[in-house]
Amino acid sequence: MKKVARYSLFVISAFLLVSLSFACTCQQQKGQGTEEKEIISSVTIDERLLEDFNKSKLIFYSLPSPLETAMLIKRSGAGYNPDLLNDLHNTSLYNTNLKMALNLGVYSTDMSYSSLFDQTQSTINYMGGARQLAGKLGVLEAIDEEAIRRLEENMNNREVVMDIISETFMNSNAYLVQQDRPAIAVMVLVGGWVEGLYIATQLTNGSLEANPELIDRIVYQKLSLTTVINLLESHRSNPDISFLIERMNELKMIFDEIKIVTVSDVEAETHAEQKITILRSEAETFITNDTFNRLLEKIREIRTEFVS
Amino acid sequence: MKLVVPVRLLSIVFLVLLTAFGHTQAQCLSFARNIAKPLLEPYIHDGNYNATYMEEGESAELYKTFFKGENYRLVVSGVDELPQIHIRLLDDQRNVMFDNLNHNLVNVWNFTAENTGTMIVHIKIPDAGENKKIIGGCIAILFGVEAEGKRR
Repeated sequence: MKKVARYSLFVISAFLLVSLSFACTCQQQKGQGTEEKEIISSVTIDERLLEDFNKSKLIFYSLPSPLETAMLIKRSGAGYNPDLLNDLHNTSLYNTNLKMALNLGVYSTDMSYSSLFDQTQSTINYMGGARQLAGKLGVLEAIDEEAIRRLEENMNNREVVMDIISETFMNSNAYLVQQDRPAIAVMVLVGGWVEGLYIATQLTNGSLEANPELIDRIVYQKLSLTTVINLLESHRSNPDISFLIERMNELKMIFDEIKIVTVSDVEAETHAEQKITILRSEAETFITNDTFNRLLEKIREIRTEFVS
Repeated sequence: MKLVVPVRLLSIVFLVLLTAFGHTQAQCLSFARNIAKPLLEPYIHDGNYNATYMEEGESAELYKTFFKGENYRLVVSGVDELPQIHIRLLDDQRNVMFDNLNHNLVNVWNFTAENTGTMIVHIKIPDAGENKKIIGGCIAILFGVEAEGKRR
């Protein structure tokens, strides 16, 4: 009888868990964090929008993906440095969910960075590394052999390559969510974001002057960091996520020293026929050499911890 | 022994729900991949997966940093059973920058960011009419980035 009662408890708990999962999936967060509450209370908006916002059940936080990060690095005029990539031999070191997920993100960024610079063999190799980690995480179907074959066949067509990379990244994320493991999916996103930040900062060679556009990209990751922290906070109950929140808050302390001052608010110019809206605004950024050096060091430290 | 029946019943319900959850999520991935993603062309999908099940009357928000000089395409797509989705792009002060009500509730739109900033995509599925059955289904919010060769 005791056994049956215990089993009942298990089943009821599991039932509640699954019911909750239905209500909260896809890295979404019910309710809003402090920051959003501050935003909503500080501005005047029409009542209907406010009503909609209050009823907003789902919040998505979208980080710059490995592909977008690689594009941003390339468009800043920075070059390719293979020494910055995480060694593929490290794959065997990753045996916890946290390490496997973080480095699936890391390899996805390394793969994207390689592909944007037409590094054929490196792109294929990193796709292989990502596949191994996807397999270890139980989402092997996210990066199937067909994807690798298509990649090999289309290596001279960068757009197809980017499409395959974006598809595998979406698959990894989606399959983890599908398996009701959204916290693991978040770890993949964070690993990819940190790797992008690591590559970008290393490519500056510690200079604030050498590539102002790249510095601009790095400085504005302050905004993405807020998104990273909000995303992590929505899965705080997971111990691995708590660890990542701590590390991201250490990074935030340095990013907080960077000032982004809005000169003019965002203005929109819509061209209906072309179906395009141009978003105009002006802002100035301020960062000291000391802050930049400490930022570089902190990012290097966190990334080393992720990949080792 | 009286507990055996409810336990069996609950087990079945649990398994059904678990299967249904996986099934719904699988449907959403398939929808995002096969229906929503092609609408991004010729932009390249950034790879982020934002898709879920929503019902009439519900709303959602997506926070994203737009980077200076980048051209983005936003696609908000819902299954055919759902009504057309109301889409607004807000700045970080929640001022409305774009409202698809002014453009026949179009679900694909392009944006060029002349400076970097966090933007909010606010979507709302219109309420079902009174006494009508509430309809639900998958929706996907995807972003594309303009590829190197296509840049103006």
